[in-house]
Amino acid sequence: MNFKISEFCHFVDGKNNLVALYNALTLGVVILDKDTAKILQETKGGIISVKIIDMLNSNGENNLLSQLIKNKLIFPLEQNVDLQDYATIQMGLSCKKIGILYLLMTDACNLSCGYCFVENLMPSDYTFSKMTPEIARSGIDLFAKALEKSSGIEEPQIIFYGGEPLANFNVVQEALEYIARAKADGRLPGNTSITINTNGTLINDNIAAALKRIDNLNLAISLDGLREIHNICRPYHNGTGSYDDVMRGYQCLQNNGIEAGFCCTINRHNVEQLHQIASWFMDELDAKSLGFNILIENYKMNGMHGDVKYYAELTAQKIIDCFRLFREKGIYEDRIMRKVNAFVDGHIYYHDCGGIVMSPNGMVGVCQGYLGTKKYFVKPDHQFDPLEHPVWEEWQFRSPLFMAQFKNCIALSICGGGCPYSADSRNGSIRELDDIFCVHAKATAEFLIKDLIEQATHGQ
Amino acid sequence: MTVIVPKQTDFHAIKKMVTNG
Repeated sequence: MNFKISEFCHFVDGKNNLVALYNALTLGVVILDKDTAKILQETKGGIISVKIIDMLNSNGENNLLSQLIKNKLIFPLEQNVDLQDYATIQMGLSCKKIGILYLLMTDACNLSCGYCFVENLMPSDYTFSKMTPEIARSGIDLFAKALEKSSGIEEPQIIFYGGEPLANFNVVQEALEYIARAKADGRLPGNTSITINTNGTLINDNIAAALKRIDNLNLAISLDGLREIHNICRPYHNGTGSYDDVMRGYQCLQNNGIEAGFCCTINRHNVEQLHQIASWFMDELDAKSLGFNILIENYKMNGMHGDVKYYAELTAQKIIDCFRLFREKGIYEDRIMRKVNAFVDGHIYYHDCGGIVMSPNGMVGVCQGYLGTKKYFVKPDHQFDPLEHPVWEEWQFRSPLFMAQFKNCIALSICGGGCPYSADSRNGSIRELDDIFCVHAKATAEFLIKDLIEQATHGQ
Repeated sequence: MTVIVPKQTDFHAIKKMVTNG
């Protein structure tokens, strides 16, 4: 019987002259010595000769041949296992589902961050507004209906976003009460998590006391580093820094016994010192969770990237360096853990984003990046169903697993595709590559495979 | 010839102390 090496098989060099064979689609791994791996790597057209098969087939029952087949790294020539697996995994996307609701409580913000992809993309004549309680309730109702028709959503999420959501705190409170009632009467699952993404400057004791009463609430405060760096990155509209107000807000939460995580946007002002900033989050702020944001393109960014290629490569490496630090202390960094969880648990990570975005004026979209232009936003009527709408269908299939140009990528099944908005603004379409994110995805995949070699040979 | 098939525990060891709550 003739065999063929899977087109999804990648060879990754690791320590001690070991090489991992990795199926980037189905996530199987077998580790070989360099010489044996080289014999396989140099087969012409991936077709394995009978002589090589005999070599692989030695060593009794648990031999290399059976392990390579089991991990889908090679397959009998007459069975196109690659094609079958690719089709099966694509089928995983065919069931329509929505698991995230973004409630944009206002599209205005009291800060003027140079990299913000929401505020900086507003047309000059844009009229800012605040969400009303009625629109908040209609967004939650729409989400509850979509969840009812969706399958496989383990933990639905409602995210309060902006602008700065706490600038509309009365409506945030009303929405939180409405969510609690919807959970109590079974319209929303009891495990629906709630997250408030805030710049932290408006948090006071009254807000902290009100938030303390909410179950299953996560708070994420944007903080880009110590005072000097943060103040450069995240100033008020008059140019003064926001650091002291953010720390005062964080202190209010701590005084009220509320745990908060942090969001840190990596840009040219903090990327070089990211490892030190990570240690500071860990040791001084006692952060239990963190999320790194990779910059999303906007035309007013004034060089927040610096050199884009340098930014992308350094950012990718720094996120990995910080993960090495965080994993020793059990700190969850969301950006890399999306990929780590997929790789470790062997599940496919289809998307990096998606869901319902409820704008302050009641229009419904898929991405807040388009809030200014209202591209990919629709005005819902009483029959509106995002699960049946062509915009959501287009975004559902915006996954590396449905984009043939990424079939040979080492990060194929753990990537998620990055930011469609960034791909659109940098490269002309949501179906193009998010090239900055891509560097991070590939570097992370290679790191995980090499780290697995170390873990598997630990103590040997 | 060296053949190592990583066990589930090897995969989990990548996460070290990170527990997903």
